[in-house]
Amino acid sequence: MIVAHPTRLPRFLLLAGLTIVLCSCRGLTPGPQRMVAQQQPFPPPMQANSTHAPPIRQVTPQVVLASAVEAAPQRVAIRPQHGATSSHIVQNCPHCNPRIPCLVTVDPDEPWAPSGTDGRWPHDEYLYDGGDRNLEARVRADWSVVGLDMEDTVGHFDTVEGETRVTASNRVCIYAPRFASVRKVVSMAGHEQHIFATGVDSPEKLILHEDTQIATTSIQRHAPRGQRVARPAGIFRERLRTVGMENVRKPSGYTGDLLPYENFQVIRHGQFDQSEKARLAERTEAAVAWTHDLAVQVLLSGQTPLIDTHDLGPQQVYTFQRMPGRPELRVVKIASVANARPGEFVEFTLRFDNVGDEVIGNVTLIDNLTPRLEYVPESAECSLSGDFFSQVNEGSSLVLRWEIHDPLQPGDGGIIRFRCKVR
Amino acid sequence: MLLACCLAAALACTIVRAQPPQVHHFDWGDQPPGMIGKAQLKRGRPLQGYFQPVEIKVPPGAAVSVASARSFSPPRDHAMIAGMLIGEVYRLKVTGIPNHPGHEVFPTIEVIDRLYPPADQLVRFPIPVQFSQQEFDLALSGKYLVRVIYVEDPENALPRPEDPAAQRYFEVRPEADVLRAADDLGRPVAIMRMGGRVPGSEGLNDEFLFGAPPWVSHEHMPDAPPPAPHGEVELQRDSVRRDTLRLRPTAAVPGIGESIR
Repeated sequence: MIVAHPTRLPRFLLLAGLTIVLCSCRGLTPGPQRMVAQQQPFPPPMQANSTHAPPIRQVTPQVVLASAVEAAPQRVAIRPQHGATSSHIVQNCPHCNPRIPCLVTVDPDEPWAPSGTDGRWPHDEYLYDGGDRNLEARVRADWSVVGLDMEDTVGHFDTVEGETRVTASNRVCIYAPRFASVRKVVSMAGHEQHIFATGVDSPEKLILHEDTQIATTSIQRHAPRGQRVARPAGIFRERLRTVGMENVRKPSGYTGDLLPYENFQVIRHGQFDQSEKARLAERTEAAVAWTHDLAVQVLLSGQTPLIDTHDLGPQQVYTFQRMPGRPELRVVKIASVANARPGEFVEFTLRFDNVGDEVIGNVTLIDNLTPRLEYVPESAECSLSGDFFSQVNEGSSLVLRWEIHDPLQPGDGGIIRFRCKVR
Repeated sequence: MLLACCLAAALACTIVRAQPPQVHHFDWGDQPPGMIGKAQLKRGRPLQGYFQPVEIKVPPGAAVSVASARSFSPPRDHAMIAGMLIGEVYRLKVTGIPNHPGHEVFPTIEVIDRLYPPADQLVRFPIPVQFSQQEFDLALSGKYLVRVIYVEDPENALPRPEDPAAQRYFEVRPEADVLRAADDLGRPVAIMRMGGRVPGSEGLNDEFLFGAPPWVSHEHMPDAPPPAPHGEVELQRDSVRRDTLRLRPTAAVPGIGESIR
């Protein structure tokens, strides 16, 4: 047992106090990324429908913003980070839906980021839209949505059993830094004092000057150094002989069913094509798509997925019989550009599909825009019949809401587009 | 007691590690030019040798030039983009100031942090340093201005459109620390100082030009282009996989002014 000597006790206390004072600095508040996931109770299920008829919307819901949610115990969600190599597979990527396995591949040429940083860095230079971060969005029994944070994009639907489920989209990152400044104007007296402080350092030059006068041989050292860098400049001309010619042609326009940035199989047909995975990941920064490499193959046949895992030598076949009644909505979000300056426009496309095996109804898509995105009036479009609502959120932007009229059969889906101006 | 002291010290160190690394703990805005940027270079990030594009804008009619080799570059009207080293101090010369014929102002710019744009978008996203007519009036009337430009936190950004002709600023009191105020609002990236300094009797010496550090000239890009015309959305029935998605023909696609409203 260590017992401090009575005469040394004040010294220990002084050292401990100084250590605490020197190590404690400002900025003690934790970053906003650590505030996560307030648990809200599930809304009571709707009245069960024994006939399995498509659910019908009952009440026009209301969005309750996250700031209006009453205080409740919080839990911290720790998500793994992106891998360091291009072949690293990440589960629960911070950019994606945490319920969907993510296969984000990290570009080895991407800009430098400090260790321990997840996702895009630095965060203050990017705009984010999509996903369901911090508080988990849930739908109450009165059809109001709680836990909808800024930047969230979610969709909710009703199953034939009367359950209301919420699905988050992927997260879209747009490079769009914005600047401001802090100014201070002082009188001339303050400025002169400032210049005098600079002049106090000048006596150091006088000391250095005396030293150089004594060491006169240093002048001779500098002379040959200047001669080393003199080189003739005739070699470079011969290298220009092998210059080739390239004829780069770029399309000047596009005429078709979809916009150029929407030319993906997942947007056109609602099904992922592995050959487009790289381009899709560039637009969505997510990995909802499945992967297919030389080692593992996943085949889907009708209602029963067949997973065939084989190596170079022995092969094993696993067959899973999935129980019927698996409603699921998938929401994919892409942006027309990856970077934008203030004043420019960005178009967003939401592709939603019923990827389950039973009909779903009361499909509702909600997008809570970040404060720096300004919705362009009358720019919302939807390929299905529905109602469109907007509501001002806590960031003086808008919460956009689409309520699809007709139930979605398995395999059906739709497209929503809207336009925003970067503030 | 010793164990309690160790636990307290460990807790304090843990709190320090959790702090954001961008805050300037030991610097203040009234330090001599170059000291804050030099301190940034010691933080271990890739700042050394990086030419950060800086967009310099002056009021229409004025011209700006950057110190280069004991002189100034040819003046450019209204705006220019220069790639500046982090930690160095660049002396500018602004001539042709409206309402002040024959006067010249010699502000300085110190880049203390960099941006990380996509590789092909370096010049499209420079650090903007905009001089207003009011600031020139203040400088020529004997005032000294210090302005810290910072990257705004997008989650706490003001929900108002950005005016490309005038950079938004917050005024602090003369006794306040302008760098700490910028730390609270975002991530400081550059410091502009102006007023009360003209070349002395020795002319453009190294002390006045801060050694005239090297810089890279970039072509200035215009402001945000006008919005492109928004064409109609044509979602047609797909002929290959019509069983996967039933989209309505063009005429039946509802717009915001129709049934989808």
